[in-house]
Amino acid sequence: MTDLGEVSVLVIDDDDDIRETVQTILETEGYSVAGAPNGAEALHQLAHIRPRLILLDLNMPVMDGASFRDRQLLDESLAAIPTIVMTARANPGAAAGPLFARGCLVKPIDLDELLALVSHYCGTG
Amino acid sequence: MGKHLRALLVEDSADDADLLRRELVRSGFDPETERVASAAEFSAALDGKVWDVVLSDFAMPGFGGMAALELLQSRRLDIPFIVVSGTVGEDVAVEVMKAGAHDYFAKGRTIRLGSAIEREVREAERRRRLGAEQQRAEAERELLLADLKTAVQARDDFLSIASHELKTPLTGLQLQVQGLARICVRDPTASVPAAAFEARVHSMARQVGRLTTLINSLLDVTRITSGDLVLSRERLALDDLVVDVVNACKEVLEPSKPQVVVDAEHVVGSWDRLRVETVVTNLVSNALKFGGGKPVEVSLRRAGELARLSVTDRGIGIPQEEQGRIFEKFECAVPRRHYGGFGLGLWIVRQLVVAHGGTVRVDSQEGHGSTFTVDLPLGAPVPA
Repeated sequence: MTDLGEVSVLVIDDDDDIRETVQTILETEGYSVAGAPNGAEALHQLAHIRPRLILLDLNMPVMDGASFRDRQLLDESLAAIPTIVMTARANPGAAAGPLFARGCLVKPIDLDELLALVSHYCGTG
Repeated sequence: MGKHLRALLVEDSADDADLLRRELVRSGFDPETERVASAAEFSAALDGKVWDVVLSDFAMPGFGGMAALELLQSRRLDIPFIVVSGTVGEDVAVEVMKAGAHDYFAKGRTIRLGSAIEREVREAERRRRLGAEQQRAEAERELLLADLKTAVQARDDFLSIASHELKTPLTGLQLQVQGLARICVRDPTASVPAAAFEARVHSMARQVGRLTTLINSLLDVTRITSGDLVLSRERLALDDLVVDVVNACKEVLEPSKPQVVVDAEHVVGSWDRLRVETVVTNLVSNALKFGGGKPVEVSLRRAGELARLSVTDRGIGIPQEEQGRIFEKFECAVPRRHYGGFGLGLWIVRQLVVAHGGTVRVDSQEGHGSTFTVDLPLGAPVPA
């Protein structure tokens, strides 16, 4: 398990390809990245890691993005971690707004937009 | 015996009413009449019975032909209204006809009253029939309209699901392409380790494969719903086709994903290759998706004049009450938003299997996986 504080970004997405691609690309940029396929698995990991940014998909099995966000906001040690929603929904504003996220990446995600957000919250890798 | 006629007489004079009745008999009717002389009596008579015609005096103390006509119209009753009056002058006749009376006669000059009644009764009957037909057509239109609205809504839903689903592989593909482009732009002489490069290209190929599958199922849906599905049968070894499909599914899979075990007997028949491929692909990829990471078994046997294909997973299974509707359009026992796909895979499977004269069924226990069984008739022998 990664030590506390070492991870810059936690990517939560049930699609293996998206999660792993984001991970690979951010790692290429020099960030350390962890991935989780759903909210429950992410919470489990967050017991051990303290990322500087969370990228959160909305539609996931087991625990979806909204439920994860509820749990995160109720936990004082996690509530302050900046969280960005990633969604393919037709109305991303309406989907992400109620989650009090710092921002929203609309799928298909643009790489420059992703990197700009990550460097804003995590510095240059 | 004359033709039965139910005539309501608005007439204050009983003698005149009697004359009218006699005139009706003379004209060849078998009249059933009632005489009324006030608005209240007229109303009661209209309530009490269905009338073929109203024959009304024009000027009566307290209640006249105009008032009777208005009352009739206010009740939206389409009964021929014919004025028979001693005092009817040209101007009054014009006025009453304008108001909607069907004809008028002067008392004592009723020689053509019978034919006028016959004509108006026939006309009223025709109006009623037309009205009923119009109402029926109207109702049919309403139903059709409701159907169309439902269909448009379904199509809108489908488009929104489709665009959502297409964006997932597109995201992976776009990030990989932009990522590689970024490496090139940043340092044109940079070299990516072969293994890392290969992994990324494979990932891109996988996304292209997913997009292709999604788009093909879109096309299938369009063809099936437009009734444009024509099978192009050819002689096929189903076992070879199954092995090919499973291999293709495996390529799209990541190495960590579950195994597919094929146990196929050699079965030859006459089927549409692309459509049968779609059936097998949908069943196998469903089994992998819902198989909970456990191996998937594909079996093919010849059973008399049938080829029997079974795809079994050991995954989450399908609750009994959901099993009936998983083959419906836009249905998926698992909430669709939790998994990729249009929720149309099994609907497509059933449509294509049925087009081949076959059947598809599911046996499943919640928590213990599912078996989908397709029976395909071997089909008319096709010259090799």
